[in-house]
Amino acid sequence: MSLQEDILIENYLKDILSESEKKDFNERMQNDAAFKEKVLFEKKLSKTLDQNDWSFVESDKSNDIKDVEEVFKSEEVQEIKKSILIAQNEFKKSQKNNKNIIYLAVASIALLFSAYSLFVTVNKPYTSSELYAKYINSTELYSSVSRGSNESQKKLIIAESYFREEKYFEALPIFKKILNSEKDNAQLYIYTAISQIELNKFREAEAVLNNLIKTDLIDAEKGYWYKSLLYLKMNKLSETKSELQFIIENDYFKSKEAKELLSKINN
Amino acid sequence: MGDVFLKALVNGDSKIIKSIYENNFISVKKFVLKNNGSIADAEDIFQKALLQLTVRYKKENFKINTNFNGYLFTVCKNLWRRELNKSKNKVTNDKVIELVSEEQDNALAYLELKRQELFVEKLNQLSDNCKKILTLFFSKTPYAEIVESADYNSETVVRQRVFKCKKKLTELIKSDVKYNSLKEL
Repeated sequence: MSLQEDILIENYLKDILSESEKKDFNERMQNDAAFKEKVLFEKKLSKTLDQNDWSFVESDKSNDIKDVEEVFKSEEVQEIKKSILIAQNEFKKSQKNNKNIIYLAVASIALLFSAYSLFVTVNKPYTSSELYAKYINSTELYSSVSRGSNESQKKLIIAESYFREEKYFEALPIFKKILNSEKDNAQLYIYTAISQIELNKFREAEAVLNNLIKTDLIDAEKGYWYKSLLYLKMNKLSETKSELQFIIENDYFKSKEAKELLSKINN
Repeated sequence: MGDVFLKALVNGDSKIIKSIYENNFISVKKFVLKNNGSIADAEDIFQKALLQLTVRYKKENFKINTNFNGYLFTVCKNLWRRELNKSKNKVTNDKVIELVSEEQDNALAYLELKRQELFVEKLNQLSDNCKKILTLFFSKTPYAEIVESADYNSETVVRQRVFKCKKKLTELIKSDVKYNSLKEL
């Protein structure tokens, strides 16, 4: 590769070629496989080594992707995932206990040194997780099972019973699998998203709810309510507020609760 | 020591995994919070990083040459960099991104992390001068600034230097057997 060619590719990647230069460039990419390979390699190189960027896999032709995916899917790795989750929960519990001890210590010191703090009524605000739990539990959930007795309906009955027992880890894969083929079942999106939220898979829950919102189903608007609760659980308060505001403005599902929740957050 | 932790992950030993959390989670949390994430994001990334190490160990029986904690932190950092760029892509891309399953996304991340590691490994094998100029170049520092920062005579000299160093880097990457399985991606 000559220096000239290198500069040309660099300018292409920086998107600073003129329209006609770009046209020539793209034509050459189509007709000259070696040139195309060079461009793609340069792109990978610059995205990988730029700390603010990332080079994503662009081709799904490689067999390696399937191979690795199979390992991630294997029962053994799924079991390990459960152990990681258990460890995470144990760790969080111990952190909470530590915080409680610190809290107690601080509270005793406060009592000792500041007598009149006793007379000040402190209005304890809710934490985001408390609010999430309160509102998610008070939102009625309809069954996602429809009439008929085909295999997937039977599986849904099982998944919903796991869900009620809060066994989200078991419920989620079933919901996800059926959602792939039943894209017109709004409740199914919701069950999937809540299970994901409960398992801390926030980004996936967000994607599922966005997909629900994009459908033309009559219940698509419910997606906004669950999205606001998702952000609340993530403690992303400004996103929560803007979702709630949107629900209120459009008088969507749960707009009354949205108002109430918004005022609690603002307090 | 790294081996102990990798084995604990593969055996699903929650007690030792908890100690991995105790030793490392706070620094990962700090990093994610500093870079536009939430605590929940940090938990998610940490979990994913542990799973990446597990699968890597199972599949390739790999060894961590540096220390385990440092390596885990790098994986977390890269996974978070990946997440941030994912949403950036979403904003700039009008196209609806098809839902990929969690396992598929993990598999893609696995291969992308391997590619990233190989590229960085090769960058580190270059001369200090090449490494420095390429680091500036890839972080999109304007040529004029590179000229000043390293006392080069002109932009032309810098361009030639970047060209030569990049060529060397490309040769190093392409001649490594590890690249064979990554070049199709």
